[in-house]
Order: sequence, then structure tokens, then C-alpha cells
Amino acid sequence: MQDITIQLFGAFRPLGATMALQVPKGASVHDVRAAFADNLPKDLHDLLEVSRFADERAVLAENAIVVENSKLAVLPPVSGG
Amino acid sequence: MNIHVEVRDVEANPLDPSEALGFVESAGHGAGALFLGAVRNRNQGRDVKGVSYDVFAPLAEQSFTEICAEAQDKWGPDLRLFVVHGKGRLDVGGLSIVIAAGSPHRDEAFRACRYVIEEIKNRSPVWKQEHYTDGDSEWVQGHALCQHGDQSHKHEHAHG
Repeated sequence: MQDITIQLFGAFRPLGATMALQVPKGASVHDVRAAFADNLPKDLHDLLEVSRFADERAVLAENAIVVENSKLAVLPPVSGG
Repeated sequence: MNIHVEVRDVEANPLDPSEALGFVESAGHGAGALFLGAVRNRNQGRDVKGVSYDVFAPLAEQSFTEICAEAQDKWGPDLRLFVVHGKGRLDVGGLSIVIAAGSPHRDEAFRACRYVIEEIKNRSPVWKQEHYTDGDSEWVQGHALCQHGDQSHKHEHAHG
């Protein structure tokens, strides 16, 4: 297993600024999504469906592989401007 | 450098339109366009007293840079662009975003300014929490980010 951190934004903020997760080595963003969902209250599952994962440079594809100590962010639908 | 992008803590440093216009000025530019986004007092039938802006700053600044580069591709490398988005809580009337575009002629400046704000609304990782006069607060429902890894302009499609 490996440790990663998810930064939380928008409507995920009530859960805290970050969430620590353990995922198997070689896990994809899709696997991270599933591990994150396991730690999420039921009323936020619909929001997760329409959210994307990103690092500091780009929104990540679901099949992207995450590495040990990755710091990802979960991005709900955006409302800037 | 003819592009300035930034996420700024607006509680400590309010946004300043004159700073934006100053940045995009140039001797060769006959036009400057300015867009200001401000907190309004009503949304979807509810009385709003303020808005908190949550921003994933590194990726937001990255997206602003990409959007500005796209605008320069479309309207020329002479285009100067300034984009600052606020982070933190603002009362009604407070400025949440300032965009300025400077160019030799007005058409490019207007179009670039419009392009940058519309793309930011669809693509940049920023979230708005409205605070209502009745004491309630809610995160505004936004635009889902595209279901592919590449957020760039290469994908021409409608956003919700």
C-alpha cells in the first residue's frame, strides 16, 4: 500500500482541508476515486460522480497512475468568475 | 512578459482595476478592455450578503496562463493580459475578478477579455459559497469539468 493525500475544495470542504488515503501500489485515479468514496458520507456521492481529480498542473485522466506521497485534489463542478 | 495571472487573498488585498489597466498599457496599444466581476445582492431569488471564494491556486493560475496563451494564439502575440481572481470572503459589491486586455485595436481587446472570463468560468478550479441574509450558506452549483484529461482549447464543445 502507499499513502496519498487528497486536498478538498468547495462542497467537500466541510470534511476538512485534506484527507489521507491508502491505496495499493500502482493504483489509478479510478482506484483513488473508489477509496475516497469509501470515506465519504452518502450525501456527497452524487457530487463525487461529477468531480475530477487533479494535481497542481492538470486535471488527471481516470487511468493515470498515482505515485507514493502524491498530493491530489478533488475538484467539484467549478463556479469561478 | 505580457501576461500577468494571480490568485489573491482579497480580504488582505482588495482587487484594483487601475493596476490591471496599467499592466496592459503599451505605446503600441490603442485599446484597453476591462472586465470586473463583483458580488451581487441577489441570486436565484435569494438575498445574498456575501460570497466566499475557494480556489485551488496552483492549478487555477496554470489554467489562467493556458487561457491567456490561447487568447494570444487567437488575437496575436501583441495582446497584453492581466487576470487576478480573488480568494476569500467578499461582501456585496466586492470585486472577485479583474481581467484587462490591451491590444493595438479594440476588436481584439474586447474579444480577448470576453474569451478569458468565459473560459475561466468553465475551466478554472474556483468555487463560490454564497452567504444569505437569512444566515444560511450554500455552495453554488457549477460547471462540471470535462470528462477527459485535457482541459485545453483543442476540445471545442458546449459546457453546461
